[in-house]
Amino acid sequence: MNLLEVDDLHVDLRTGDTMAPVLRGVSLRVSAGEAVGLVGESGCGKSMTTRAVMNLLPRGATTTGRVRFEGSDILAAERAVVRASRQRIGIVFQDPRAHINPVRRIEDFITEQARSQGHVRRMADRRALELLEDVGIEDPRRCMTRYPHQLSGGMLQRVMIAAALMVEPVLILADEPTTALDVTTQSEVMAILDELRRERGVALLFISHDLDLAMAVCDRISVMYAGQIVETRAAALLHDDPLHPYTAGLASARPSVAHTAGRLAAIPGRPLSALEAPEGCAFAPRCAHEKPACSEPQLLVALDEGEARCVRATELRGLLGSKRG
Amino acid sequence: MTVSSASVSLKETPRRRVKRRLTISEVLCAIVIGIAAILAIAGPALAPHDPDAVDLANANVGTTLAGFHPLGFDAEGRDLLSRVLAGARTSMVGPLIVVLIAVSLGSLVAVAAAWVGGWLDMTAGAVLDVIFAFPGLLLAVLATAVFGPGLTAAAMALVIAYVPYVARVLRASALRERSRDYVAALEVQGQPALAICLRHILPNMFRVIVAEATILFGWAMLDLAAISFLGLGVQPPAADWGVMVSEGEVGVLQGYPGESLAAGIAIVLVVVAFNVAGERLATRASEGNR
Amino acid sequence: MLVLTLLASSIVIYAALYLAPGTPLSALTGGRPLPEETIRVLEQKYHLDDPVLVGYWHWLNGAMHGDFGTSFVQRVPVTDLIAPRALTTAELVFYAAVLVVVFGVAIGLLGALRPGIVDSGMLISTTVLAATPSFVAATVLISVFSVRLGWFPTLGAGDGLLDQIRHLTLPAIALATSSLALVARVTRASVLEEADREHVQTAQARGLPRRLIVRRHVLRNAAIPITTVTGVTIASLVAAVAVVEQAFNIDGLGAYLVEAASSKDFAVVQAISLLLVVAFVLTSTVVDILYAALDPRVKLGSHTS
Repeated sequence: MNLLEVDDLHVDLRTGDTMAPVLRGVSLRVSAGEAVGLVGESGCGKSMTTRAVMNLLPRGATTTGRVRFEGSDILAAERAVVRASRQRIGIVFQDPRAHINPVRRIEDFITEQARSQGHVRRMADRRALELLEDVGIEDPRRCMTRYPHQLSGGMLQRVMIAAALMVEPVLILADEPTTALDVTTQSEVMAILDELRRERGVALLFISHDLDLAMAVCDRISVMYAGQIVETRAAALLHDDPLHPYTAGLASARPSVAHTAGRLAAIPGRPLSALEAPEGCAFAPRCAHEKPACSEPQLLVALDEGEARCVRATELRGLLGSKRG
Repeated sequence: MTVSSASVSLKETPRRRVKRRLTISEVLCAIVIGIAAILAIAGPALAPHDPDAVDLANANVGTTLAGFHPLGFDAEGRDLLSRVLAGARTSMVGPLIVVLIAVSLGSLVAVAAAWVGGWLDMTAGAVLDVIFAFPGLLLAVLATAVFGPGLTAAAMALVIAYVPYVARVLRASALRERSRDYVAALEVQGQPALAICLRHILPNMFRVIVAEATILFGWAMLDLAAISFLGLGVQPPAADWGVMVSEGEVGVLQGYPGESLAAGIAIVLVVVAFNVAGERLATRASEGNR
Repeated sequence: MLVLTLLASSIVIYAALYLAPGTPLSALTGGRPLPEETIRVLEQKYHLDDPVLVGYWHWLNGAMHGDFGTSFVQRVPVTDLIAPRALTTAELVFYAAVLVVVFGVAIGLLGALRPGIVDSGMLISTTVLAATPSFVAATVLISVFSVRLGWFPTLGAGDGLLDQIRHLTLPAIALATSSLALVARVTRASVLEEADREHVQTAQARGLPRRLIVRRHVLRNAAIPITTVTGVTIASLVAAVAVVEQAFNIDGLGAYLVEAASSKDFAVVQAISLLLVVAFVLTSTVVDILYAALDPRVKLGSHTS
């Protein structure tokens, strides 16, 4: 059964007097224990998707479509139901320094959620100590008594992961969890997150701009562009056999160890926002394979266990992955 | 179609409304400040009657349209409207002088401290910290005790009390300006420090200085009015809003609050206008700096 | 730092004697003609023949032991004149401070947590009240509540606790008005700013109950700026108290300071000025300590300008 189902989600945000679209029909599912990646450049709407999943959209946002978590419709549910759902989702934000209350101790931050659910402080503390050890913090007891400003960014992000696991979530939402960290810390934190969620069989929705990183930890990946999903595919196939030209561009925009000798092919132009998107394919202006048919509205086409929003997907099959040297 | 009300409803009311309300208040402020400025210049000339003409027959008489006395008379039978208009000048010229001197001195201290830094910054900081220990009103009372009651002593005391506030706010802005690339470029070109400060740094701080001066005007007006109310500033029978509130106190107890209220409302209106305008200017200045 | 500030301000207060036109002696006596003998006693008592610093030292030493010299107008030790008045003033300031904290914070919270009409009304009224000087507030309060409605006595400080509270209510409100409005505005702004922080979003995402989020994350963090501003505002009440005492004819320190200033009773002026400055500086110091206690990121003494 699907843990999380997002169906044809549209979100419009108020900017001044007008409503601006940010999501244009996003569909997504995560089943129990599965790791799904949501990848795209900044401004494509991936963070807004996570906010919709938590029902944390900015005030005045309007939505159509549905977000179902464990069967309940998050966007239409009563406050108590929304809160109950939020308590079953662990969340890891990009910038732990901003996302952890600076005036409260680490102990307070980690155990707060458990205590609000009626757990005894002593039990919560014991579990917090275990988890801090699991995320690789050397002196958990000392860490518990510290304030956020006394810890490094990497340590804080481990604390955030430990806090997310406190209430035994069924799903972890990780919104660019390593982007704010330096490179060496990044891989450690990512490894910890990946390992702990596998051990516990927790599902993961991983938001990133980094396709390779997402491929390393996810089973399935959806690529977003201008408020839409343009391709969904098994992570293992995405890099060498992309279905959408944009995915191919993302894959070759980043050097990988095997291909360092080859030229880096950056995608020309800048990413469009959902607001600027034309009726047809939003990627067409930057695409090397543009045809007149691309100005028609594009549908997601199922193709070899994946789907792509590209009229020429079948045609281009096999041509895209081999582009790089 | 569902409208999200997800986040805890602590956020601002929708932006559009806030904006429009502020625009209206901005216009109102400008109008009040404009009228105040006109009155400060021409108030005494606009007074329909002699503000000092005593006529005990009219003591505490209310609004009388015959002969045009829309606000009525005070306890000594003087026309209230005329006294409010005549009092505008003393009530506003005092604060104006205080603000001009305090802001000039404060800017100089701020720019000098930011430019030279080191010992000058430290010394200025220490001296200003001591002055901070004296609330403006207290310093003004002390000054009148030493030099005798009167506007001059009180005003100078307020200048001394305000300089630290001005200097502290402007120092931050001067430091920011000093660290800009263009200043370094001018220094490398061998421009004299004084010229850089006067021709570049100060003019670039103009918006912050104006905002600070506007806010300070409200304070100065309140403090000077309080001193006059205490009998240590402007001396009766001169028409001054602070003095009028004090003189009207007897009337208040007898059930004739007209004099005190008229002068009090005049003070509040002008101060509100300057406060709101100052806040808006300060917000704009900080937005412009970002 | 605290001691240095106090020392420097006491020097300023003492030196004011020497700034006055004429000799320090004429400043002390206010120009009144006095018999030769009295003058000699005075000169000796105030060490006017000694260097300024010696005179200052004797004055400060006396002040530390509760001896502020003798009033020239009343011919009584200054301490005897000041002590009972200090109590009245302390009561008035304390009463007003309680009003500022309780109602200022409450009104600010109301505005922040209830957007819409409540908030707009609060914004407009506090804008006006913040600009209302205490003596204007006094006028309005007296004419409405004492003269029209007769609920409160008009003048004086009253005897006995209940009577005193009754007498000091209107003065305390007048004294508190503008500070209260200021605190309310700062409270509202701080709460709104804090509610927009990312860590509050985290708390929401973790499904915590709203009242818990408001209390533990929004209010707890907003308490830091609110405390700072409230403290500074309360300290400023010490200076404003003179105006309110005058308006309500209360025989307290402030009104007496003004009286002494007009009659050039310099020993009294010095004594009261010193007391008020000490009260002002001590309040500010307490605020600094509270600030450091509330914000773990601040180490005491490290955030001074």
